[in-house]
Amino acid sequence: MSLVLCCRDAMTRLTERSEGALAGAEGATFAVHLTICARCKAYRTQLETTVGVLRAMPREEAKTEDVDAILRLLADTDAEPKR
Amino acid sequence: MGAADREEESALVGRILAGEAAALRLLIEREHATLLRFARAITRDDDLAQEVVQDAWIRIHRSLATFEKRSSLRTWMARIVINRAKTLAVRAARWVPFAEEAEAHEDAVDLASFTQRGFWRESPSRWHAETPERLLDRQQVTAAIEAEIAELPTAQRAVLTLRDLEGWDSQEVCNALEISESNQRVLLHRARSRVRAGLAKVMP
Repeated sequence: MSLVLCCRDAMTRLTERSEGALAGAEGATFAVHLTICARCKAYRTQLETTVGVLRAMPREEAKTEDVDAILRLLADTDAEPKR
Repeated sequence: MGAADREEESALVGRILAGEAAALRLLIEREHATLLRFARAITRDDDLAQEVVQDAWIRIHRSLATFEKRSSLRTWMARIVINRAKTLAVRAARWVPFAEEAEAHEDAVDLASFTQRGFWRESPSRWHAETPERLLDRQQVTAAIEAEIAELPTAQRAVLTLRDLEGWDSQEVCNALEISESNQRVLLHRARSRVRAGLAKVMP
């Protein structure tokens, strides 16, 4: 990665950065680009919003009848001779 | 997953192995929905996912004593789900190894958005700072995200499901899917970028 980073390369590496895998000189070059480039900042906000929405998606819990069915299945299978 | 969680998990395994019915129920209550969502992500088929997870529970229950605690319990359980799904999918000739998908070429960003020198042609639009919860109140936002996730290639879907929908850390996802850290990041970035593009169509 050169000292000057273009927007396309910076945006390709956004997750690498947020995952902490872009350190040292590469990380510094990335940070400088994001400080001065309003367009990349806007795109980064879009991606961060996306992740925020994904993480806030409701997660259904297991239904009691499904848990009961698995427990019955395990009890029945336990009674069978091991293959 | 922190050290305290791992300790709690280890205690739960101990109670199940000692034959405590309530502990087994607790494990199923806690993990069944996650395993099912994960199985759906990798099989792309509801009926098959149900079959895979039922079978996985039998295997988990039978081999819990062999769980060596080198990885987290849910990672170990996810691997059992993958192995079963793989067996069924390979039979149907529908299995692409996760690492293979990561190594295939795909641009996470739309190259047409950039000039030849790699700078934005136009500024990406500014999304209004609304909380994720407020955004999710809009039915079209939820629908757009669900549609986009449904269209993701399997490995991207698997990584996104575990990282962003289930909240696993990267190490757990790498262990469960048996992929490198860098492959995990590539798949996550592509998946998030695709969902972002879908979301962009319905953002105010």
